Parts: sequence; structure tokens; C-alpha cells
Amino acid sequence: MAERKLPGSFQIQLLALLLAFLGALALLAQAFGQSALLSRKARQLNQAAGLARNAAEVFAGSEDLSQAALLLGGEVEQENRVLAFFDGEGENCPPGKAAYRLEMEQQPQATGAGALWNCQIRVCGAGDGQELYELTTARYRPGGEGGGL
Amino acid sequence: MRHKPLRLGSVSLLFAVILACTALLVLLGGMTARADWLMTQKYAQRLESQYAHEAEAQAWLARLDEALAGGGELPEPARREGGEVTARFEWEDGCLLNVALSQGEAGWQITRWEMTVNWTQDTQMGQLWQGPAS
Repeated sequence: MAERKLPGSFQIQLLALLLAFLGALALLAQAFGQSALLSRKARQLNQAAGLARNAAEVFAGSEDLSQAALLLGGEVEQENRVLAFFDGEGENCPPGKAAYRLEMEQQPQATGAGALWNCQIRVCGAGDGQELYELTTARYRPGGEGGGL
Repeated sequence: MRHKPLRLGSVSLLFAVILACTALLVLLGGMTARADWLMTQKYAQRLESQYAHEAEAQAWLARLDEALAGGGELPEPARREGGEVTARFEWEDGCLLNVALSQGEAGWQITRWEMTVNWTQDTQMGQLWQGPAS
């Protein structure tokens, strides 16, 4: 007995196949988008950590905050705070074009001899202000009257 | 002109090939992104702990400065041998800091401040063939 085809069955099957194909493609596109987002987050964290590291080294090698601000290309805000802005490539730039905002804040700690400064370095997104990375370091400068160094 | 009829099987095969290729690309992209993220997180944590150790050592240096001036007991882990003070810090994460100070005419000077990380070479080669047994 010859198989009898229903009218339009090919079109319906093709439509169903197309819908399944598009659905699978949408799921893959979603997964691809998530990968792209994770990759972007990794790049941001990498740059933020690099900027914080530079700032920590600058802090360790500077005599005071104004020197650190000069080396970082930022400005001293208030007494113990430096603010600097960087673009997506990690280069200094004006605040309007910045991708990252770096804050460096130092706090003196009482010692019997020289000067011990604790420093907190924060790197945030310039647009949303979301904190990306934070680093804490310190610097001791001998030279006080009660010191042996 | 005779039209060749379009079969559903060939269309399905075409779609399946496209999906397989796209899925492979997505898989590779996802694995790369995840590896990047994990590596970056590791780097960020390493930096954080390295500078935290640096802060700890700087606070120790302040105490040492006081002790050297006052002639009191040196803070741990400092050891005094003649005209030299040495210290070796060892942290749980494998960070090491070797410090040396020596006494000269101008007073105590830091002659060594070296932070290193313990590293063990990974000699595991997985399932690679090691060559014929000799």
C-alpha cells in the first residue's frame, strides 16, 4: 500500500526543525555571551590588579604622597588621599574618559622611632564606581630620633 | 526546468553540522574565558597576600628600629650575629622574605630585602608516553 502524505506535512516538519535549530542557536549564543562577559571581567580584574600593584610600588618608593601622585599621574585629594584616572589600556587620562579610578589612602601608625604608613589602594570602575580590586600595604621610613636604622 | 525536491534529511544534516560547529566554538570560548578568569583570580590573590606580607614586614621593621636604638630584645624572627641582623619570614602560602641589616659607620643599613615564593616544579606528565623502557 502506497504511503499517503498529508498535505503540508513537509512544511510543518521544516518549520519545526527550523524552530528547534533557532532555539539551539539561541542557547549557544547565550552561553557565548556568558563566556564573553566572564572574559571581560577577567580582563578588568587583571588591569585593576596591575594598576594597584603599580600604585603599591610607587607608594613604597615615594617619600610622600605628593611624589606618589606625581608618579601615578594623579592628584592629592585632602591630606592623605591620592586620586588617579586610567583608561581601558591602563594609561593616565582625564576623568571624563577614564575606565578606572584609583584611590590611594594612607594612614599613619604610631611608632617609637620613624614613620610607619599603612596604605589602602582601591581600583574601581570609573563609570559605575564598582570596586574591582583592593590592596593593602605599608611603608616604614626610619629616621626618627628613637630609631636605630 | 526541473526543480530538485528539497529533502528534510539534508536540511537536518546541514543544521546539525552548523550546530555542532557553533557548539564547539562556544565550548572552546567558554573554556578559554574560564581559564582566564581562574588565572586572573590567582594572580590577584597572590598580589594581595604578597603586599599584606610586605605590610607585616614593614611593621616588624619599625619594631626592629626601636629595638636596635634602645638595645632591647629584637622582635621575632630577627637573629643578631655580630654586626649583622638577619630574619627569615615564612608564610603559609609559600611566601618567603629574607632580610639582612648590617651595622656600618652610618648606623644600621638594610642590605637585603628579598621576597620569594616557594615553587615546586610539576613533574607530572599526565598520560604521556614516556618512551620505550630501556
